[in-house]
Amino acid sequence: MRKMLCMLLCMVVLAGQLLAQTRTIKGRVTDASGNPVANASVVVKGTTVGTTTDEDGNYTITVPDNARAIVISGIGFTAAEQRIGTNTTINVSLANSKEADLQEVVVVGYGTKTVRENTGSISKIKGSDVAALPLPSFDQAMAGKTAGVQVNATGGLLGDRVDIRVRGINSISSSSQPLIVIDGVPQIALSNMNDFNSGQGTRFNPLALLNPNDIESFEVLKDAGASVIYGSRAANGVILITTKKGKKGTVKVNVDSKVSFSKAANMPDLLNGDDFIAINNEKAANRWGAGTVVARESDVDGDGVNDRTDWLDVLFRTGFQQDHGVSFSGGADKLSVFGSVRYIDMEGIAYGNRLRSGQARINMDVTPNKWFKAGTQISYNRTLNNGVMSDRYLSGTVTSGFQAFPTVSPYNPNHPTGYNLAETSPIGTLGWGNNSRAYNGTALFPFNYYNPLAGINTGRNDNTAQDLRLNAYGEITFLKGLKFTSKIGVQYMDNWEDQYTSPYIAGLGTPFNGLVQENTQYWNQWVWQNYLSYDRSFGAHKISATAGQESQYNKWKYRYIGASNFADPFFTTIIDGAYTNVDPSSDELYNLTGGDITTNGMESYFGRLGYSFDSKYFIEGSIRRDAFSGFGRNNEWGTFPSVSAGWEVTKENFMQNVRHLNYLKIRGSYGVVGNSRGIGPYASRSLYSGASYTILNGFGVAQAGNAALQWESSKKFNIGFEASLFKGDRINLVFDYFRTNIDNLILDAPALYTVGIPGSTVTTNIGRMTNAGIEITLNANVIRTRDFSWTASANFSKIKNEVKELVAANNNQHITSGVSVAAVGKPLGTFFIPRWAGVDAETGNPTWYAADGSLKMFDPNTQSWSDGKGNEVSALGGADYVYSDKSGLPTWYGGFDNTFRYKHFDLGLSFFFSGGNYLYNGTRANLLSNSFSNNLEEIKNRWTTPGQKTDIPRLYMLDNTANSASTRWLEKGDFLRLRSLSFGYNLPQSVYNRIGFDNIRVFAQVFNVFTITKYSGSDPEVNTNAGSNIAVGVDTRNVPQPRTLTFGVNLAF
Amino acid sequence: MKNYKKIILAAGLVGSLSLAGCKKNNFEDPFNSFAPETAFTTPDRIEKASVGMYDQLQNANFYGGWAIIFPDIRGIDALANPYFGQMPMFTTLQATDGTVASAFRGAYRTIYEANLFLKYFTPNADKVSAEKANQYIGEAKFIRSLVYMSLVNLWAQPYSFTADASHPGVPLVLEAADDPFATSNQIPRSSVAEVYKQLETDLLDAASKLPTRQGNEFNYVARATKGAAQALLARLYLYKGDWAKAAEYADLVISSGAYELNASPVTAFRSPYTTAESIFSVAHNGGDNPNTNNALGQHYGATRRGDITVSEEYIALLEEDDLRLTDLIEFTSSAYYTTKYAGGTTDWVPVLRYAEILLIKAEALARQASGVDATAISLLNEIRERSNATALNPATKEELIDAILTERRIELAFEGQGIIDFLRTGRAIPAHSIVAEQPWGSNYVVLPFPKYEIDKNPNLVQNPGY
Repeated sequence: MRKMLCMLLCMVVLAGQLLAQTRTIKGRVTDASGNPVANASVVVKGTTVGTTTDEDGNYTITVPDNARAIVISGIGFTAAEQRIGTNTTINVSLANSKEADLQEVVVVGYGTKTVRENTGSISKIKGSDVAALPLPSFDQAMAGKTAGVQVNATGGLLGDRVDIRVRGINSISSSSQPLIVIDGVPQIALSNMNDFNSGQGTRFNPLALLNPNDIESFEVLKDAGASVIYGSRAANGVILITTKKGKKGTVKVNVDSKVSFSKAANMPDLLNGDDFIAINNEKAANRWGAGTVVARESDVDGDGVNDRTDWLDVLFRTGFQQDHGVSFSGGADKLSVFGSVRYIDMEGIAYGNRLRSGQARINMDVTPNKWFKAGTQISYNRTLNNGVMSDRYLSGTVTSGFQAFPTVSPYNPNHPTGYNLAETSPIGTLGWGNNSRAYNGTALFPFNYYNPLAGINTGRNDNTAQDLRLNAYGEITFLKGLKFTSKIGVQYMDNWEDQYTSPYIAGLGTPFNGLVQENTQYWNQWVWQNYLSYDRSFGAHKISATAGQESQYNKWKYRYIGASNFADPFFTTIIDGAYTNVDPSSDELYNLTGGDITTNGMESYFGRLGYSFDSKYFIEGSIRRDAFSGFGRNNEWGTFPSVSAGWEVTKENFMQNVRHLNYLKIRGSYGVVGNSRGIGPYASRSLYSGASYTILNGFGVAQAGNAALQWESSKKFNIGFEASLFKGDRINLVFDYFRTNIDNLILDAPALYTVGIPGSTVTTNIGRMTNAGIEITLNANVIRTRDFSWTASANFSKIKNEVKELVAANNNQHITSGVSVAAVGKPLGTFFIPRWAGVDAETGNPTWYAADGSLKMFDPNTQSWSDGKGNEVSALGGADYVYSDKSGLPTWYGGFDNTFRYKHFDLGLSFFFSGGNYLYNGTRANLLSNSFSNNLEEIKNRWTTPGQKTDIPRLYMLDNTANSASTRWLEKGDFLRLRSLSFGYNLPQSVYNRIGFDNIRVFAQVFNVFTITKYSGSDPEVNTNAGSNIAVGVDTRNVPQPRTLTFGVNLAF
Repeated sequence: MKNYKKIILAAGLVGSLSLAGCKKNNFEDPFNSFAPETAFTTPDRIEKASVGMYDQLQNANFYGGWAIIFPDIRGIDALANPYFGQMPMFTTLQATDGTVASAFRGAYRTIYEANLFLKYFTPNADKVSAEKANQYIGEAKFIRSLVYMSLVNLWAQPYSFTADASHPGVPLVLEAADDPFATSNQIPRSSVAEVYKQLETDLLDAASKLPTRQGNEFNYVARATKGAAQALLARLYLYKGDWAKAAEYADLVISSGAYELNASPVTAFRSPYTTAESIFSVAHNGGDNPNTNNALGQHYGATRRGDITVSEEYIALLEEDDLRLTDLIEFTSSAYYTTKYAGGTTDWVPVLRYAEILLIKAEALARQASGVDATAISLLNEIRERSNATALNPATKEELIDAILTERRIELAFEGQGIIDFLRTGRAIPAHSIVAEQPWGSNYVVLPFPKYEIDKNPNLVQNPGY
């Protein structure tokens, strides 16, 4: 380095001597992502005339008139040549040199490595790649960004839970979520912080509590070679998140501000009022004879005209969102600091849905002397989420909201609340105007409709989450290369759910005369790591070793309280004296309090030994031993080893003459990792617990245990290569083949119901499954000229899942979840349902295929089954269920990102695709209901006349046999989505320098631009049963995904 | 100097490291539960474990309400909205039905609790007095029998379906399994006769062991008693068609003097639920998951979910001034609702009521008599007059039996007798609401065994038609 500077100095001196016939050129040198490159050299081609860039990448050079071109080079970059022509300003973007890329640091567990040394399968995503998207949590933004990682959002509600799957689903009954590690500290394993309705009510993803702008990078550890250091928690992959640090010698302030508008991208197409009346009266007339009328015009809001309500218009909206963040970073010799604050306020597309969050972080590192280093990372987040009831509630925006009558108003000026709420039984449901609730005593509604608008405006469904993360570490270097690190990470989270239902609203309101329910959960974790690492080169030999120990303790506490029967609707929260807790109809006192507490602990030892020769051959072995308190007494300790190796082929002499191949590394790994996530803290034990019988205290069996319970073990094999091709490393390619054999699957093994144990399951290690596939990542610098560049990045993953063995004692019987099963020899999520045979053209009756392929027709008139030729047959039954050979699990997915830069403008297109799976369109099954409800427009194609070919049977009030589970509702799930389209403009330097800034960027972005799919539902990226490994690909009244338009500005000074 | 600092720091860190490694103070025993053996170490704990069986009897998917609701919504007097899926239907109910599976599972879950209690209690029986030991065993057997009684009447054709009741009943599980996955758990269906025989044996044992009364008024009704076991025996014999025994056990209950009709038919259904008319009920209070969806009051209550309405057919049975119409039925939003379950989520589940015992005796006598039995008429009229209904004077034996069966429909409506009364008496289920008639003996009048169970138990034979 010293040498180099000296040389540059010489050049400057020389330049000063050539005075005659010169002109001045100015410009700025940036890297591929637009950051300034300091100390780059700018030299007139063919001369020694040159200069260097300053801190901000700016340079000024005086060149001779006859100079044709300048050459710009910097350490870690590929040199670039630019023609001068008549330009006086030449801005240059430098590409990283391969060598620099290979020296880039990747974070691995308990340490770092260079890309060159890495022998595992690790994908790195830059924080900046995900920070710009208008999403509350970073995990959603990872979709399509890297091979082997699949991200599935549950729906379009803010903060809803997200499923992340690294190389497929690696479990059946346990969690398949990866381990998240932030700054070296494993995070509390949690996918949903909310608990109402068994966690299926309003849901909240704890990862929404991490500011994506604070993230420097993610590393996804995919194979055993990379992840085994996390032992019994590594089978689902590990996501390492590294937050930003201050950089030495700089002080920077960044301001990021954006506003967004979002709207549902797609909605079900529902009947209008007139069609609704006609269709529902036809249902009734077909059942009870012509002229039967159940649907009538009403004027509930009293405006003198018949009510017409588009409930989707009432319950969905254009949400406005704002997101403002300020961060500062800086560093001196012995101290570096990064800090940030952020405030977001997002309105969801669903009326009433809003999320507000305040976040702050300070990361500090001190290096008081050469042998000691210490630091802290402290972050705090507090979020208020105004949730709305959705798919799992009758009162939900997508339940009552989809099926409520378009012929009654949401409003009724005569009701005390101003809303249309029934004043006769069932009091507080949506008033039905002049429509019939029952016909001859038979109820017609599929369920009691609620007025979701009234519910949202008179009640609360909030949760307030807090997350405090405190890490502190110290590092001592004893000898050259020998370092001791101790790190403590404390994470504290709590979540307070606050639900209030007004006495005017049915369900939880009227029967209780107002009800407040509050749940509070507290999660506490500490992790303490101590490890030694040794890195030393001896000539061509390099050794790196790590050995250490980790302890972890987790505690979860749960409390709920409530209040009912309020003195007045004025009181909407727990206020002393303002409620009685008495059941208004029986004078019984409600006990609305309760709680629970669990703890678990983990003890681990780990080691890693790497050796490389000549930076060409690499081999590494790792091992971890974990003891987890949730494992059975007989199997408390698990051992997880792996070995991996790499060979940089292009360093061999025989490769020197191979053209166009600049770099090729072949690497492979094999190892055993475990999955313990989802094992209850005491899952191995047989337990008795409190079981009171009204006023009597009692004990009852709580769990049938299994003392042999242990981790799931995944044997992971991975082989792949990394290559760069063509001049200037124009194309970079990464390829991996992987095969995961999972055995000792932790199954909630289903026991016979007649055995009678709690939950009918025992957490047991039985069964085997495999996931095998390939991953390809391709990065290309397609075009790179002075003013224009195009970089493209594509990734593709193909994966095949197969269940190999289940519970032998149950005859390997498949395990069912909803309409899907885990069955031996088939992929997870295979649909197991009867085969739909369509609508009989003569009668309009629904038909199915029996197991033997014969026809079964149901005649709703007589409620009888026939073979369609007049012969009676048995009802469609369990025997007619067949494996559909269609699974809800995608078999291929990926992404395709393009960035175009022209002068100060940039354009980004990010595609995301997935497919090979089928979706069960339960929403369609619900919305073609024969009960008295609103329907899809599609229902107008119903059978009406003999000979008519259609897929919708003759309407027949209340008979929903044709809507029961069958292949009628399966549709292909393939899709291609333009996930984001962004357009940015970096203001010219002359402008921002004048007003004292380092950089000003404005941008606009559309998120979820369009989707190409044959799927008829609102969104093919659907996952109603979040967290389920079996019932995947089911669409049951999902809140549609939003389409979002964002405008933003980044300022740096 | 610098080196000392380094060494001290390192020593400190390494020292604490080894400490952390040695002591596993981060592994804790549960705070919320304990080993099963612990529950049977003292008389007091054994008492608590016995209470746990009743907690399971509250099982939301069985005796907490569904075991009462299903016979009624499959009968003709109660009409259910689609909340219960295809449960009220016949030909469209499938073996994959989730409601069927939940109920079946709930029933055997309760049975397991009783079996497990017996298993753990037996070796510890000497820890309590002989009297207490008898009580606990009697309670376990009563609870188990009660559940089997519902199971066999919902999942199997009635006793009279074959001459010797040799047609399949339900699997009899009488011991808690050690290994949930052992093939010995693949228990086939016992015949209906075998099931009834087992219940008879268990209930006779329970009746001999249970106290007439224990503790306070709560215990009189909310825990099993001798009277409860005898009353259930009376019901068992009635369902079986053993009229003499039915009358005998009804008489034992009556002659115990412990029970009587309340002045009003409403009283038994109102807090405190412990009047002398109630022989056994599953108690509930405001501590039992206040917003549960499965409580009787939630489903039947007009101001609650109101899933179940009362049919026109039922209303037509009642005289205008019958208190069971005026005080126990309400008409609102163009539908009739019962007000027997007015407590929302706190109603006790009425299992055995004195009125039923009187009607059992009346029917048993009426059927045994060669002519018109006068005692039967007076028992019938005792029930009717209590509710302001006019006294009847049937002219023939057949008319009397019809009148008693009708009175059962009126008096015991919404208490879990619905379809069972039709089936045991050899009658078809008349067409009602949107349900077509089901002839007696139809495959569809009994519930399917869950497909889940059929798939896993090769010895379990599905009911025909499913």
